[in-house]
Amino acid sequence: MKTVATGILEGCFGCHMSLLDLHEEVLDVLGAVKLVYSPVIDTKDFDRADVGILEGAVATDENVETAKKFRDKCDVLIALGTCASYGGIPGMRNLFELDDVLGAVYGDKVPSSGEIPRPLPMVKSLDQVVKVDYYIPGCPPLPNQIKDALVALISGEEPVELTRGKCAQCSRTKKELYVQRREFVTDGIKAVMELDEIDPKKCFLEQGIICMGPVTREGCESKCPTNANMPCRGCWGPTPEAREVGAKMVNSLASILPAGAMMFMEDIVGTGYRYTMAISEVPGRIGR
Amino acid sequence: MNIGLYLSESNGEVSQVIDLNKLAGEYGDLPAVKVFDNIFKSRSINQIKVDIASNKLDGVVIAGESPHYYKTNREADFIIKEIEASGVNLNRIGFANIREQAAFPHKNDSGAAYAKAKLLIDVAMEKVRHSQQLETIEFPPKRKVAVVGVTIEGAMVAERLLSHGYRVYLIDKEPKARISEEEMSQLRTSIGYILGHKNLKVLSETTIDELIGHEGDFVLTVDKNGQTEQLPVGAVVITAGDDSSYINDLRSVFYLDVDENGSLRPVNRDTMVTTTLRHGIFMVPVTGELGFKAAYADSAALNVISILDADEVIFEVPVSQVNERLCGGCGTCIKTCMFKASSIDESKRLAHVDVMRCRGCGNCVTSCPTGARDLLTYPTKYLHAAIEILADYPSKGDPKLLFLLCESCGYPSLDYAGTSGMEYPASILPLGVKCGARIDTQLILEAFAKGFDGVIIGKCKEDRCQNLVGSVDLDRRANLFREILRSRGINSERLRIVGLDGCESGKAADEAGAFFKDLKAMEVVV
Repeated sequence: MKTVATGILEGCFGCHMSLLDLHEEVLDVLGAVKLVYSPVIDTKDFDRADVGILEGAVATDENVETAKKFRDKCDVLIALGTCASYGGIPGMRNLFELDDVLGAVYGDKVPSSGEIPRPLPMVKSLDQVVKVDYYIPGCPPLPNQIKDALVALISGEEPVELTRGKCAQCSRTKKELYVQRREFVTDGIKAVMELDEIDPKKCFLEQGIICMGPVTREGCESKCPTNANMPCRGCWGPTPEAREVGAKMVNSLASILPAGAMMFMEDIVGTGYRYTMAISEVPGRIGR
Repeated sequence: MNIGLYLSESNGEVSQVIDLNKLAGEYGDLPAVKVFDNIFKSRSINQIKVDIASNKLDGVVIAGESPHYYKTNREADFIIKEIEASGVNLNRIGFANIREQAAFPHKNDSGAAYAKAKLLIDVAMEKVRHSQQLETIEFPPKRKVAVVGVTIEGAMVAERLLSHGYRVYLIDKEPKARISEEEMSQLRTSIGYILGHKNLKVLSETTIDELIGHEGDFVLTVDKNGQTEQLPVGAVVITAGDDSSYINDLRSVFYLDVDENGSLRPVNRDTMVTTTLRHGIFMVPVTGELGFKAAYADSAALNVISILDADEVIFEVPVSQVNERLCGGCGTCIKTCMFKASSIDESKRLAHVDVMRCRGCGNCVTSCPTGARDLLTYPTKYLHAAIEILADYPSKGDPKLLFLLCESCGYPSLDYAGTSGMEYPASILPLGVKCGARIDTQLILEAFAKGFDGVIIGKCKEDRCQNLVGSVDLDRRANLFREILRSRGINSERLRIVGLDGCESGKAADEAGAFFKDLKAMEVVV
C-alpha cells in the first residue's frame, strides 16, 4: 500500500479542509493509502512516503526546513493549492518591507526570533525552494481534483493537468467580445458594489467589471461567475505558458476595456498579482 | 541544431573596428564559422551553400549588415533566397547587426563594439534556435491585377499588363480620369488600346473596402454606389499620383508606409522605387516627367509580372495556430485584431486564426492571456532569452538600456544613426521586434529583473503604424504597466516610449542618448 504524507507551510488549512470535504469519499482515498504523517492525524514525524503533499507558501525558515524534509523523504512531491504553487495571498507581503509587516501585526511588541519562526525577506512558492513534481492549484482545489490526482498517482498514472483559460468553463455568454470590431466592449469600468444589478448571464467584462477569468487557469468550474454572480479573482493562477498574471492582464485588457478608465482602478497591482506575486519576474518590492 | 556562422567584414567597414577573426574564434564549437571580406560576393554565397550541404546545417547566422538591409537591397535579398533554396528554412536565418548597430556607432571604442557584437551574435543564434520552421502554403497566382488611381501612370501600367495577357481592374474613387488634356494627347494611342481591351474593367466612383490575402492571392473588396464586389487579384499597383488625401485613404486599406509628405514610401528610393514593404503591392512614385512615369510604370509592371508569371507562389505563415491546450476562448484576440483575422469557434470556445487576413503583427500574441499563440518570426521564448543575453553587457557603471525597436520605424532609425556616423553609448542595447503591438509588458519587467537600468521603446508615430493600432495598443499597455513598475519600487520614468518618424532620420539614437543622460541623473545604477 502506498504511503502518503501531508504537511502545511504558510497556509490556512483550507486545502486540507478541501481534502476532508470529500466526505465519505475520503474513506475511499484513505482506504487505498497509508497516511503516515499529516496535521489531520496524530503523528510526530515520518521516515519516508511515496507521495508528499504540501499546502501553503514558503514564508519562514521553518517552512524551508519542512519543504526540504518532505523533498528528502518523499518520492513524489505535490504542491497543493495556490499558495504552494504560486505563493498565493501570503506572497502579497513581498510588496512591503518586512519590518513594516511585522509592525502591522505585532505593533511595538514584535517577538524575538526565538519566539516565532524567522520570516524570510521574500515569500516564495514551493518550487522556488525544492523541486516539485505535480501542482494542484486552487484556493482551495476542488475535493475531487485532490482525489483524482492521488488516485492517479496510486495507480502509477500521471495526474491530468487542466491548462486552458478559465473562460472555457464559464457559463456566461459573450457577444461583443466575439465581434470582429476594434471597439471597447464597454464605456467604463465599474466596481461590483457600484452596480444595483449584475446580469447573471452576461460576461463580466462586457458589463465593465474586471474579471480575471481570461488570465486564469481552468479547474474551479467557474464557480464564482456561474454560481455566485461574482467576477473571477484569479485564485487558480495562470496557465503554464503565462506566468506573469498582472502583466498579462494589462496586455489583454488594455485593448478591450477603456485603458484610461483602468488607470483609475483602485488596485491594479492587487488585482493582477493577488495570488502570484511570488512567481513574478520581480517578485516584490526591490526598491532601487 | 546545426548552425553555421558567417561574419562579414563589409569590405573593412566592420573589421577595422571589430576583430572578426578573434570573434569567430569564440564560436569554435559550431560546425561552420567563416569570415568573409564581403558576404555578397558569389564566392561567399557558394561557400555558405557548400557548408549547408556538407555540415547538414539547419540554421544560418549572418553577422554583418542590418537585417533591414536584407529587406531593402537586391543583392542581400538574393543571398537569403539562395540559402533558403539550399534547404534552410527562412525562419532559421538569423542576422546579427554588427555593422550598423555595433561597428559604426562605436567606431572609437573597439572594445565596446566587440563586446556588443558578441552579444548581438548570441542573440541571433538564440533566435535561430528558438524558431520553428515556418509552414508554407503554395498556390498558383491569380493573373489579375488591380491598378488603383486612374492617372497617366495607371494607364501606362494597365497597358503593359494587358499586353502581357493579364486581366486589369482600373479603379478610382473619382468619376473622371486624372489625366490632363496634354497627357491625353501625348498618350492617345496607348489610351485607345487599353480602353478597347476586353481584359480591362474600369471601375470609377469606386471605393476600396478591404484587401485580404497575400502576394499572388488577394481578395479586393470594392464598393460602387453601395454595391460591393469582391475582386480576386494577384497584385495591386497604386498609381494615385500626388493626391495625398486619396493616398491616405488607400494607406489605411493597404497598410502601407508613407513619408513626411504623405507620399507612399518605397522600399529603397534608389534601387527599388516601385516596391513597397508589403509583398504583392507596388507603387508608382510621383514624378513630373513623362519619361520617368513610363520608366516607373515599366518597373512596376515588371515587378508584378515577375511574381504572377511563376507557376506557384509560396506563402510562409507567420503566426502559430492557437494552442488548444491553453485557449479558453475569452475573445480578447478577436477584439484586439485590427484585421479581423481572429475568430471563435463558439461551441468549443476556441479561437482561430485566418491566415488570409493575418498580417503577422503579433498583437494577438501579446494580448492572449493564456499564451496560446506565438508569432513564429519572433518567438516569445526567443525574446525573453535575448533580453537575458543583452543584460550581460559589461556597462562598467554606465546605465544599461534595453532599446526595443519596432521593425518598421524604430529599427531602421537606429540603423540610420549608425550609417550617418552618429555615435551613442554602447550600453544602449538594441532588440528588434515585429511591431509595437508585439511588446508584451512581461518583456519590460523581465528587462528590469535581469538588470537593465532603463527600457526605451522606439515605435512608429501613432498615425504611421503599419499595423494601424500597434502603436496605440503599446501606449495603453505600457502606461497601465507603469503602476505595476511602481509597486516594485521601480521608478516608472525608467520606462520611456518614443515615437520615431519613419526610417529617414537617426532620431532613435538622439532619443536613446537623451534617456541615457536622464538615467544617469536619476542615479539608478547600483
